[in-house]
Amino acid sequence: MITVDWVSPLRPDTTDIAEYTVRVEKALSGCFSLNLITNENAGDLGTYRFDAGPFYNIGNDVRFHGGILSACQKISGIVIAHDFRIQNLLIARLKAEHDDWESAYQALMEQHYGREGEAAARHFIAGKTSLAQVSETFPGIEVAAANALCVITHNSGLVEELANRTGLYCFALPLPFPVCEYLPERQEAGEGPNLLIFGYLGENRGLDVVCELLREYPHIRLHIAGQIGTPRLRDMVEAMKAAGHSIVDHGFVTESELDRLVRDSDLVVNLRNPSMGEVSGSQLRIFAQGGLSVVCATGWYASLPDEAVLKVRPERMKQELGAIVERLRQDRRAFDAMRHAGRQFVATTHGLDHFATCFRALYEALPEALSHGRRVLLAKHMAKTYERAGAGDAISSETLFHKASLLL
Amino acid sequence: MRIVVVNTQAPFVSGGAEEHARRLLEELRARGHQAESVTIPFNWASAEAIIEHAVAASNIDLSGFFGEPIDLMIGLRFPAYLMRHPNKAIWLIHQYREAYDLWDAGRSGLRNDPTGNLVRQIITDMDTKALSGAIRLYANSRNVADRLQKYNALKSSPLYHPPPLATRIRPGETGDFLYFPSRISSLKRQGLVLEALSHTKSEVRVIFSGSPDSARDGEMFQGRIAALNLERKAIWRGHVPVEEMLDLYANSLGVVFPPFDEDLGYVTLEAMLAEKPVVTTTDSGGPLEFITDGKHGLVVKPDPHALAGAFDQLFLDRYLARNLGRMARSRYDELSISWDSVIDKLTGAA
Repeated sequence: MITVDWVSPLRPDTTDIAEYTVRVEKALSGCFSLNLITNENAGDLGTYRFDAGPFYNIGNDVRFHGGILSACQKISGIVIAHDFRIQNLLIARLKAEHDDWESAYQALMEQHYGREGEAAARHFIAGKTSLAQVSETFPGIEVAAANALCVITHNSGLVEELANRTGLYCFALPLPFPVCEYLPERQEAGEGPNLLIFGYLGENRGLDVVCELLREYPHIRLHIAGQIGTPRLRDMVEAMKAAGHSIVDHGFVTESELDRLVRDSDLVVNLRNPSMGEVSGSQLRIFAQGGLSVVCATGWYASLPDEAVLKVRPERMKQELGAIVERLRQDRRAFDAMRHAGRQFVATTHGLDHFATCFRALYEALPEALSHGRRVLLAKHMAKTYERAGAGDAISSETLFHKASLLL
Repeated sequence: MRIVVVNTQAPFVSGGAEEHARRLLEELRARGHQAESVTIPFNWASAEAIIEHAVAASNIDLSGFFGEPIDLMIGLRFPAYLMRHPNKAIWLIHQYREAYDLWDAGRSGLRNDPTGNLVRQIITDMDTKALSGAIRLYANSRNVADRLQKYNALKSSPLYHPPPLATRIRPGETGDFLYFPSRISSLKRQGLVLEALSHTKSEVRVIFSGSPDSARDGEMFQGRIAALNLERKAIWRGHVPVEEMLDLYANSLGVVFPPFDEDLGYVTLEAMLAEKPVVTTTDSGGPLEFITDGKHGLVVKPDPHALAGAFDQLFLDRYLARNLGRMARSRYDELSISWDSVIDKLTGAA
């Protein structure tokens, strides 16, 4: 049995990455033993076994990943980038560590992105640009990977970009998701189509677009499960309810209740615009529960099979979503074949057995990747030596990497 | 041949390795070679510093100076052997053990450094690459060769040499004390011997000689003697002149040497030359290449009670002690350990 240090938020943390780790542990049982290290303990060297790894699970929420970010910047390991854009995490961490977080942020952005990065940080601090806009060009994942030896993503579409941005080997792993063999019967409620939107509903989740549709199609019933993320959206939903629209706000629900809502809805609206680059555990849940869903044709979502999910273009989101709703209004079973295709898709590409096979293959390829990572880090170390000697410009990073390759 | 012997230096620290390099130079010169010493400082105060020094060493090219080629480089220790030369012979005293066996044993300071694991792996990679490029690869003991095989998958042969006092050591009377010559250090385990003495049933004494690694090591050692009320049984002479050391070897009952995983340990060979049995432990490394339990000494578990039993056994059975000592000397003679053999192998003449 191989033991790997696995640094991750754990239950009862309210993040899907804690559930992910539970699934990983289950999938790998028998071959790998995970030495589970929490976000809180991530900085404690004594918790590491160092047989392999450590594997750092990085997401964008400082509550669950702040300690992990600090640890992976100090102790080299393998970064699993659950999110590609982690500017929220970076800023929250700096705020926790520095009185003058603004200066620290500008310095950090300059260190990783040069003058353009520093300028973007300045504009954000001055309120001239949003963090989402900053994230588009400067995702921040380079900061988490600065001392890493290799990177893993669950989004195969990001492999090349991550490798280019970090200089490290990057591997894609499927997001593991269990699919139960039998599903309870669907219960269709009411006359009109039932729409469901769930999770943490920030400004990028399309809730306002759905509310606009409700005005055009008053027979739609909208179910909301989870948390509405901004005061503007909360006010909008309250106003719609007050105006008599059919909105059921379930708040946080249990896993099984959420599964039931997914199954019984006529359409799950799972939009991300912009996308943070993540593979969506929510989308896999929808597939696994035989749900019908609509996504934005961007990022990882664009790569999903057309026969399994409905897609809308971000710039025509309202019109195209409206067309789908109209079709469902005419025939609630119009897209039922997609429900089956979605379940097939998640079972074959994200099942636990498939994940275990992919992880074993990755583990066999790791020595070469880690060796490359050590050469990259040694080259960075040598670069610092040249800089200290005032000769930073005298040698290119390619030459330094070549020198490091001669040594390791 | 024009030969450079490259070694590592810690300013103001001198021990067996420095003596070893100095002697190698003398022996090379005695055989007509033009031999020169090249040393570089090595500071292992932090994981960062280790890499700094390793990279610095690897940047030094010793293939020739002022148009004159150097025919052979003989590397002895990390990171000095990372220096570059097309004809590199390695006679490994030891690697940077904190990255290898001491890491595994949980005794490495690197484990307390956030970058320690990375540095350990970088050292391993550097060693593997640099040592695999050597034209000849020897270790100064089987133990060191085995570590190289285990951690770097590199095959090397043990190449033994006579200890520094080889020509001066003489057998003498069988006395009533055991002798433990070594610097005072946790790896040499004088503390374990004190614990053992507190469990002996006979009047056996142990005379220690050697300087402490640090003032704190010395204070702790003395404090332990006092705490265990061993002032009569444990005598620490500190650093002793060579003549006194020769007398202690010659007139002892036997020699105690139970270090943790020693590379080679001159003490063992010197004891054998003095016809003294060696009391050592099953995890002592180098000494076990020469000492077989019940033939050339006593090999026991690294446990105070087991060591105490061995001390008492030798004290109460002088005939056994003398007999084991004679067998130890015969074993040394069988090994044909000589500088001629060492120089021939390192220069490729053999």
